[in-house]
Amino acid sequence: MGLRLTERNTITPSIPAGPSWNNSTLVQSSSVVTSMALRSTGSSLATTTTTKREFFTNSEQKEVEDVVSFYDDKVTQYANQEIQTVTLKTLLGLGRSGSSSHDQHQQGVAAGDLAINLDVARYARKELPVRLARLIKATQKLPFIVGTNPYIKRVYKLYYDSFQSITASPEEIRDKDDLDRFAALLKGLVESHADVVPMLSQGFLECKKYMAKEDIKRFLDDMIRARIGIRLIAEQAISLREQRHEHETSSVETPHDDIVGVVHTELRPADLIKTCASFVQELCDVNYGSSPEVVINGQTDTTFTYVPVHLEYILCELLKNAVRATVEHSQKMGRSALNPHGNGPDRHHPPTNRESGNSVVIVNQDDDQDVTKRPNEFGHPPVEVTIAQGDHEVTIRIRDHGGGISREDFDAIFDYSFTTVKNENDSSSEGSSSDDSPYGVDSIFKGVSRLAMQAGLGGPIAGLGFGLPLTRIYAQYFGGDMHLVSLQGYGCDVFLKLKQIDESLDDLQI
Amino acid sequence: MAMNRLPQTTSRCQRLYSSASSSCAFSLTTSCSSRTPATTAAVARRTPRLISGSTMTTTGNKTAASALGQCRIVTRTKHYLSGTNTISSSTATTITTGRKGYSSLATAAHSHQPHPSITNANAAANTSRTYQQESPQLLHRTNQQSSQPIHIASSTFPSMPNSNLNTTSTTTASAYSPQSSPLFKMNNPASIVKQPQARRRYSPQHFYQNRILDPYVHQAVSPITLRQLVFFGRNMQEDKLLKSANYVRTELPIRLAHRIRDFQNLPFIVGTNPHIELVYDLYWQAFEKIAKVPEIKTLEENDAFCEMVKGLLNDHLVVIPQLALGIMECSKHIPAAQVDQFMSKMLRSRISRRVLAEQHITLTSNFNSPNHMMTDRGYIGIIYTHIKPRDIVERTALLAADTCRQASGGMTPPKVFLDGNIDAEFTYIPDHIEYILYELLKNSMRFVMQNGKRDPATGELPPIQVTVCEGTHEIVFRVSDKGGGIHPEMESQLWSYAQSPARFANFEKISKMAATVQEQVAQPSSSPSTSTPFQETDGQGQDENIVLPPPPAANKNPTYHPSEAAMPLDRHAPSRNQSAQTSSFSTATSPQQYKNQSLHLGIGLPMSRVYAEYWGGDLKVFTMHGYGTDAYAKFCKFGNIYENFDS
Repeated sequence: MGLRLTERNTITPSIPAGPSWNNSTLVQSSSVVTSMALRSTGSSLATTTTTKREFFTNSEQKEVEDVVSFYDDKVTQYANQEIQTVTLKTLLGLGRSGSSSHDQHQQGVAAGDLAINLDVARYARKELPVRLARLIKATQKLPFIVGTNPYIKRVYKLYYDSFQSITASPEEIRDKDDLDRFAALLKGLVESHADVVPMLSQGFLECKKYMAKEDIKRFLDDMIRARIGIRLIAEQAISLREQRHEHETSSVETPHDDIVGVVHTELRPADLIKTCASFVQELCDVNYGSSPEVVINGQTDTTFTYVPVHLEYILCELLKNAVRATVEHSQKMGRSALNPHGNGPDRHHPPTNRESGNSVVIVNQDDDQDVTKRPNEFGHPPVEVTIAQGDHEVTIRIRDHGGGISREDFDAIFDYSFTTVKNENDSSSEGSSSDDSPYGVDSIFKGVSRLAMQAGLGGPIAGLGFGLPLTRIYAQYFGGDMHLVSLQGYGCDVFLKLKQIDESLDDLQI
Repeated sequence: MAMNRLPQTTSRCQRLYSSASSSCAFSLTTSCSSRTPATTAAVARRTPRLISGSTMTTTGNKTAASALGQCRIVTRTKHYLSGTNTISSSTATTITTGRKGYSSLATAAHSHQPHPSITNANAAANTSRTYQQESPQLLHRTNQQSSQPIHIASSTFPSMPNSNLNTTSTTTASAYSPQSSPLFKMNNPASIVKQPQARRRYSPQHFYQNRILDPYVHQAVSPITLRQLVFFGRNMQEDKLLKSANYVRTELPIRLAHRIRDFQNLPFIVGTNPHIELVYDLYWQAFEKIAKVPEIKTLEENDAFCEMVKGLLNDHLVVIPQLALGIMECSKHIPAAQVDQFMSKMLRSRISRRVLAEQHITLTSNFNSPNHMMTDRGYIGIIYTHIKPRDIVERTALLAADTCRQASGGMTPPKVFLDGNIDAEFTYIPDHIEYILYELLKNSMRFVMQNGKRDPATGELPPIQVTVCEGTHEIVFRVSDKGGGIHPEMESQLWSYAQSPARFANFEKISKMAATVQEQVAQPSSSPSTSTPFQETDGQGQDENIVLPPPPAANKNPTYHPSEAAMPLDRHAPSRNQSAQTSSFSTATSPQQYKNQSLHLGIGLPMSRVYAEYWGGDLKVFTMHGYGTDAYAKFCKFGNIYENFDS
């Protein structure tokens, strides 16, 4: 249950809720606040309810079995249509005149331009069925036995139903009322899809003996990438409508020039990192009793255009890994406040006396060497996040002292690894190295608390082994990339390279 | 006849060789035999490789030998001549090197009168057949054999067009180190390279004689591990040394043959490029020379073998510059990916051969040194078993700082901080790590000096942070700088030899490259004081900060002697005196060639990666444009990974 809530609120970017959607509250409007609320209302919940994930009720189960689509040619018909790729520029409503994009969006979308909203909605109405049909087709081509898995079948049905309901809706979107109806339909669909990734994960976990690992990986990669595109289109249509709605109903002039639908044109990564880091630290505190400091340095005043929900997911996932590895490595090495160097050979500065509570530190570009090395009062060396703004991209480097990744595990970290969750969820235990966390640390925090850590942190699918591969897909989606370097015995460096979206507005096809 | 004196060589490769080459020789000569003597001689002269192959048939395989015996006319060759010439002068007790052979060929051509007693080609062939069969052994055993009449050789020359002969000799001589060639003093190899010669490449015989390569190409390389080298090199005994010699003797031709085949698979137009052709020639000659050597049974033979290999290593110093220039000029003819693959294969194979050769040579010279039992201070040949990250980073950072200071006209390079497991210890070939670290640090310093934002308070450049991490199997050096990073367009070309061909343009200016640190830091001995000592400052707490302080200062560092400035890194040899000859091949590049330290060759990074990958490590560079660059050099610390060698 905790899982479902988190997933819904991260992947579904709980549409920008009007005036609260600005820089500082950006994330809060999304998953963090809700998740934290979830945790504060019952942290015991988070630690105990995740052993069995109930994705559907009995009645739903019955429904799944009723899916009959063999004689339905409509899917094939749609799936055979070409995908009409769209540039992000169009989605942002920026392509309508020759003026510079900034001016255009100032007077355009931010002013709640109905025409743009209509354009996007019409595009979504036309395009979504085709893309959904292709996803359905791809699922139909899975081995029969895989298709009969209840989780896979459930996903299949979700897509099938969504396809049906969109194609059943009126084709013409003429006015505001049509728009509202369509947006409401999309919103419902998006919400109903919140559990898709965990369900897929669970489904393929159960199917792994029927399909080659590479085939599963290829299928999931394609599926998730397609899904990101579909959601982006749908969410843009929804949020544009909501922004317009806000604008029309509120008398104040719109304060959010820099937010266009799901895109933020002046996103400050430092702020987002700070928010994500605090969130991750708190959950780490809950689960481990302590957490490392996060130091943000480099060009901390960088701003760029990006989809904040994507970046938030990526950052939470990476920070979660870094923080967890640091703490677990501290346990392993015996690092503590009294013995900050642990038993290991690496040497660090003596612990800081920085007052607790202020555990995310932003330092200036000319950063103090010491800050990045000094362990905190628990003996955890800090996680260092460095922001760099290049000509065409923003790079974020996350360094931890979490001992790195063992050689054996390293090759698998970008697989859709099913192992970390198997012990808890898969009753048919096949002997494997499944009891290792992806960080290969033999943690004393096996079982419940670790699972809670995984389920509670970083959103929807953590702990199902989807974290890193999914993170990379998100990072690559707008032409960026993600690299992870493991310094075994020391720590990990992750390089997250993100293209500025507005740089590639013209040729970025979604 | 000479056959009786032939030792029964049992080497596997020679037996393989003999059967292949004898049949080859046979078919060829049959087709020739009906021609006039002059034509035949000309044909024979243009088939040096084939003949050199057939000289290998002297391995006691009587069937093959007798089959060959019917085709005597083929045997007037450069190799034959070089052999006979050596015998006639009765001076050579060691292996005749190629250049000696070729120059003596030229000598014969110019100065010897036709022997009066030889009047027909058949007779000449008859006799020369004898020597041809003898020559490989004679090269090593001249002291056991009385001089034979050898003027037969010259009898064939008058019928040859001399100009052609000279061309061939010149090319070959130039390819080798020039100074020891009495007739053809070529002080500037580059000038010769510019004139494509070696017409024999295009002769049909070159194509057919290529068959002698086949048995070698078909043999798989026997890769080794560092650990094997270490265990083998401990407690060197005579029999072990000979074993090592014979391993090198049989392995080098195989590895060379694979690379020669790679050359042959290049597009034809590329093969006609003079630079590529020169390297190809060098490889062929090296292949022939080593393949000809019979089994090494005595220490004297081993010494001779080492001398020969040393000569080859020296000759091959031109390979990297020539390859780079060749690639640069051919980039429009081959797809970039193929070029990159070809180059890294070449470089990797080159490392592999040099490791084998240098290891053996160093073992030999250590063994020969009178107190070789005392010499085990952790060095086993060129391998050092107690490499400490602290020392090696210190040394290379110092050198890189010197280089950067000189290149920038005295600007102070950034400091280098060192942390992590700096006292870890592992076994490796120090040359390889030093090359990589030097390149990385030099690059970092260069970028920081160009783009680094100075501390407003102190005016200091942002330091370079080197972090050493020890894993269960590996040691990683992370070199992290704040030099502004690499532009995305540059980044895509970081590892490619072909995508930015102009990057090799500076190779026009140097002719030799050993790809070692020594040659890059070799400085005029007049300025040893510019070397900056390291200071280890205990910053705060236990952190190990290694700081490069602002320049000249007095040299206070006890571990770094100015007198070593010329070869500060050469710590392999147990004793400097005894190792003088050993190091001569690795530091043969003249300092002047690198005098212009800002000479950016563009090969440092790809070459570093080839080095890093060689023993199973790797080198990765991640850059944050607008901020800095992190480079990760990983080395396997157990040395149990086989050579990364693509056959």
